[in-house]
Amino acid sequence: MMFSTELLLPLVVLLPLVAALTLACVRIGKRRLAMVAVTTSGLTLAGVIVLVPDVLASGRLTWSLPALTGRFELTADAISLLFALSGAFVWFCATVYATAYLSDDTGRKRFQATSLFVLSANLGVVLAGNLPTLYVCFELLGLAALLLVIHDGSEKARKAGIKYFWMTLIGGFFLLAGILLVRAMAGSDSIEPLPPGAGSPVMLWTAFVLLLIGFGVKAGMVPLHTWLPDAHPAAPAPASALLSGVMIKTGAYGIFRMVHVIFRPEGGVESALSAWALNARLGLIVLWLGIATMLVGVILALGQHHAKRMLAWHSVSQMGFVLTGIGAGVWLGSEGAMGTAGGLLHVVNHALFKASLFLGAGVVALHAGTADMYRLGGLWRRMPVTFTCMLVAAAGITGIPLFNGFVSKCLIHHALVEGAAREGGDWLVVAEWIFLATCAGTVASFVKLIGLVFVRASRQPPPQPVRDATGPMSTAMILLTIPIIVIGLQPGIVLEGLIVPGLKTLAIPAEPVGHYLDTYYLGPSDLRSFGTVLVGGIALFAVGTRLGLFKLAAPAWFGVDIWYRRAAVTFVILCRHGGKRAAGLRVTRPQPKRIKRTRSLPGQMLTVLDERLSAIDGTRARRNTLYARLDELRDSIVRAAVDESRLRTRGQRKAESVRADRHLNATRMMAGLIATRLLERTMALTADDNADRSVSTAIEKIGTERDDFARMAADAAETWLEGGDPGKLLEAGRVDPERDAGPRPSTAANRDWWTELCEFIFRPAVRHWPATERSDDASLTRAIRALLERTTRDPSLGLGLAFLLLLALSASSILI
Amino acid sequence: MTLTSLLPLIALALPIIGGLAALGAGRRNRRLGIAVVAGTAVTTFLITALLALAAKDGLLREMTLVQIAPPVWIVFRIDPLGTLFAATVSGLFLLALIYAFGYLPDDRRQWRFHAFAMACQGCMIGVAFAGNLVTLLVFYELFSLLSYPLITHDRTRVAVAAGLKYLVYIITGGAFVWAGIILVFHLGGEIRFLPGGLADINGSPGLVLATFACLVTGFGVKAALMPLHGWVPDAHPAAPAPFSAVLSGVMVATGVFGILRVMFEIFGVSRLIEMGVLPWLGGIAGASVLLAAARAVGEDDLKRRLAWSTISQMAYVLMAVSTIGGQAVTGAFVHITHHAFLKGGLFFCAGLVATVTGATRISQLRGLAQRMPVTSLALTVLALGLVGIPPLSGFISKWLLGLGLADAGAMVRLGVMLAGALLAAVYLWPIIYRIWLPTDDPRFAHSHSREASGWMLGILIATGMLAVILGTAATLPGFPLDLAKNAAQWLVEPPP
Repeated sequence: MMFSTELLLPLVVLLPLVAALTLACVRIGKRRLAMVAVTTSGLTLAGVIVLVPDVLASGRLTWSLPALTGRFELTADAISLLFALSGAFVWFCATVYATAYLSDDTGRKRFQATSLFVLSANLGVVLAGNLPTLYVCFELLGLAALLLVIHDGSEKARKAGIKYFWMTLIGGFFLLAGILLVRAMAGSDSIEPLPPGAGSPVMLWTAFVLLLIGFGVKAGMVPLHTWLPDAHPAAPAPASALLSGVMIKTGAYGIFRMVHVIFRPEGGVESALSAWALNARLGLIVLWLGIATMLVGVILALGQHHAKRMLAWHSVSQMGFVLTGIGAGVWLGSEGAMGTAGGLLHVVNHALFKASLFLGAGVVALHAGTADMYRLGGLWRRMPVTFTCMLVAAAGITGIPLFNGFVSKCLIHHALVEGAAREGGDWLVVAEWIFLATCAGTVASFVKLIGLVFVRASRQPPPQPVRDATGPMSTAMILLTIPIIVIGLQPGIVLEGLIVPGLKTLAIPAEPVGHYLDTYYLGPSDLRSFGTVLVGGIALFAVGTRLGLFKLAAPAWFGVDIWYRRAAVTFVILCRHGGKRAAGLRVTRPQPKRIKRTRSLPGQMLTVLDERLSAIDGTRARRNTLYARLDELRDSIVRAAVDESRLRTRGQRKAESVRADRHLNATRMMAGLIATRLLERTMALTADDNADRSVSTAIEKIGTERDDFARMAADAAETWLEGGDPGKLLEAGRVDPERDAGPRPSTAANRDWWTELCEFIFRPAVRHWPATERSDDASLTRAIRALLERTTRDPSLGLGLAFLLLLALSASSILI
Repeated sequence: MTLTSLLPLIALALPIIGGLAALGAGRRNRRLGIAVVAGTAVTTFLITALLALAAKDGLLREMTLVQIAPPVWIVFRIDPLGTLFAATVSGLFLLALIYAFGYLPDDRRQWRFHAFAMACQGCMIGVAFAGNLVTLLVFYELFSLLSYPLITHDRTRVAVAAGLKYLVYIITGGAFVWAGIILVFHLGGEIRFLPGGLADINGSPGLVLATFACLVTGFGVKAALMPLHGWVPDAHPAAPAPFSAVLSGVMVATGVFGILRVMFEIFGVSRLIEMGVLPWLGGIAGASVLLAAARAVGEDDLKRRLAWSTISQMAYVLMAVSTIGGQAVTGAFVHITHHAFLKGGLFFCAGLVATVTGATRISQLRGLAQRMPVTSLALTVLALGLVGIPPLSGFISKWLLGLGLADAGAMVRLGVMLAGALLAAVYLWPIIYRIWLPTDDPRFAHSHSREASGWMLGILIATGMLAVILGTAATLPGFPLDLAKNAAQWLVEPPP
């Protein structure tokens, strides 16, 4: 065949990209948009499916192109295809669903275009063949998904989007740092094991931590997960399914490649035992982080009342399962296939059932009007299809036998048990208990979801007649539930079809997986564990509902989210502050209004910090205080003038409010003119350090004559409205602050020439001060300035002529 | 004298002559003036680009021109770094000069602008092709002085104040460079640029150090190395937008170019390592990166924020070069070129926005995308490019800089670079975010007139596309990355 399968790799990545860019540039109707979107995602899915047999046959397919900083390389092995296949399938279902869900949305073209672009980036990440390609696609994925999060433009979505953006960006920087370190240690771009003795232990650990943070933000790993519970519910339902179901898996993919490939000593090469021990330790860290993630996720999920937020917290929890599996697989070394297979299978499973759950929750929210579980009920009669699909998905996620979740959870459980038996793994017994507790919590949570939303009798009649999902929406959900059941009944399809060949390509012995399928699958010990979990979960649900435990919430300062936000806000305040202080500007209050209102200790500390910083530089602070007083004075003059105007037009206000408004506006304008002029002239006096008292005198004098100014403003306004010239009035009442200020000591000689020169050079061009402010120069500066201004008023002509003369001279000297 | 050796002279003289011709022709007939300017700019760009491609692999030609005083000659030479810089200068000037036709009001003064600008371009090309320190300084001082009328083009009080400050800084810097040149001549016996540094510089270590310090200080004023950066935040906003783009894009880079020449071709790599100045240079540059970026976060005026950003970005170059690693130096050279076009494009956007809507502060930009979608898109692309989002051109230089720093083991500097890139996101993202917000502001919401002048919009789109192309196609031969790699190799490990 002329067509080589390698070309499918770039085709599969580029097709959605091209479609997305085309959609962005053209106008298109609803039906054609739906057709284009569904066809593109369908073709991508078909392309990935076609790749499977060739990859299984040859082990690995590669395609590359010189681009960016080296080569843009795409590589497919069985594990990549696992991620790609599950991702493309979920994307197809979600796109089908979105064509109906967004049928009333004017932004549907933007949504579909962005969705296809994100699909392309996602496939680029999992099919990446070298580190630059991985990084490029990862960054593009994170940024493009922002548009999905803020799709509906509401305030909540925008806030969630901002948090998501900053966490993704900062995570991206950590990832870049880690990748650069790995690249420096390995000397090459490809994703392959580090050569032995590549870098010092410090460098290895630093690279590991940086990469873990970088991928962990995307994967929703604790403590970097805080963007997830806000971003996933804020996005529309099909986007939530994609974000939760597929996008966060790229973080897990990165962590997988990191611990299984990059930091793993090359199989078959003589590597020191210490290298294997390091690898095992890294796996243990990933394992414990996974345990923490799953526990935190499930505890917070139990306390939610909004269905989508609960599902988002469950995504965090289930990603914990995936990380635990991967970590356990690495900890067990050459016998770790069960853990790795469990983690990877859970990736596929979670994609399927979480997407299905989000799509179902979307239908409920759309047709029943709300997603608050406590306000819904009895929907099983009216929405049978949705109910069935969500029931199947809930069975999957809770790990009921014969559904897909059971297999992956049991694999991970077995890996934990074996890990605990290993030397150095004593604490893993605790990990196993936490695992079982989390599973019980998951059961309780989904009993709550299905029970509250569908089964129990509804509390109040729904606001509108509730229809079931129809057409594309139900098709998508049913399509997703089919593999849940199929994989549950025949897990070998995925385990032995894709995972075992993938493990073999990575030189990981895969016998434990087959051993599990033969001995343990649906065996008594697994069913016993499941029974315990089920009973525990139902008990937890009963106790919790009875005692109201699910309505409790931890104080806000307990989570990491608020500390991240405070750190970021403090940083921006310090930057703004530093800039303004250095430029001698008036220091304004810190920007976020929250800090003013809060009486909390950190808020007060920030205010105190701000005041301290502004008090450090005495001169400028003093001038700023004076400026603040003058500003207040100006405001009070304008207010007094407004009162005067209202007084004068009192009679007219009821009859002719238009005339009264014009009078008011004119008076306000005149008062502003007078006050600003006063302020300028007084401010000019403040340049002297010793002029404080005279300036204060001037300010007080102006204050006492405030009503006169108000009357002057109103008179001038009336003159102007009648068509006259108010200038005379304004001039007649002119106040001369200099005259009123009283004697002030001469200060010109006080500053020495060195200070003058420094100020002249380093003082910024203060365009924001009124023009009259520049009367502060002492003799030397004034002399220099006058001389320079005279000679350089417009030196351009002189410069130009001089240049021409120079040209002529050079030309003649060359030619002669 | 063959044609090849005359080419630098032609590339230098053509803009100057073209500018004068435009001054004469444009005042009579606008179309003729536009044709002269455009034609000259395009031809200069083509000549310098051809020279850059030809000189890729090493020193091509050296040409002695005229003798000023017994030991001092005016010498030109064609070498990889110089031609890369000259091509960058010509490219940015081409964009800026055409943009200026849309930006400047159509009156007699615009031809004055073009004449001085093209004279500046000629002198900058002279700097790029200079073969010894005196030639470099002559053209350096010339274009510095010729920039004054351009900075004060608007003739407002602010502009004149900024121009005055600029003059004081530049003249002082020039004095330092003169002192450095005299010391070099005294210690080394010659002032030619030799790859690998001068053969011997005899003198007490203190004196050699003082020479280096003088030269770096003198060029550092133009290169906006903190604390010599004071003129930048005032001069760059005060100049009209096309010249702000040139100032930020290539003029500050000329100072950096001077420092690079001094480092690699007067002192040489081994001598620098012996002197022990590299950690100091790296430290000062690193401090500049962080402090300038932090100041940029606090600025509300758009052009001032971009000016602080320039200081920060140019300090990357010096920080990377202080490690003297091949990859880092390549990244530094590429960064000069890519940053020139990105920052130039951002200033073009700022000028366009100010002309059409009158908004100069970022707080006034809310909802700009409703009125000016193409400009907003270009602004987004260019700003994301500067932050370093793949696959735009800023990512290429950031990646190479990071890789070079990691390879050289300079972990602290790598951290500083990434922190600087993060700060770049902090000061550029609010602009992008704000312009895409919905708004009811009557300036932006309900307007049906044309977005902007065709000249300005076209140049903006071209610059945006350049950011994308230079990023995605970076590894193609003949692109800045390839040229920078050769230049770095030739300078850091010169052939014997």
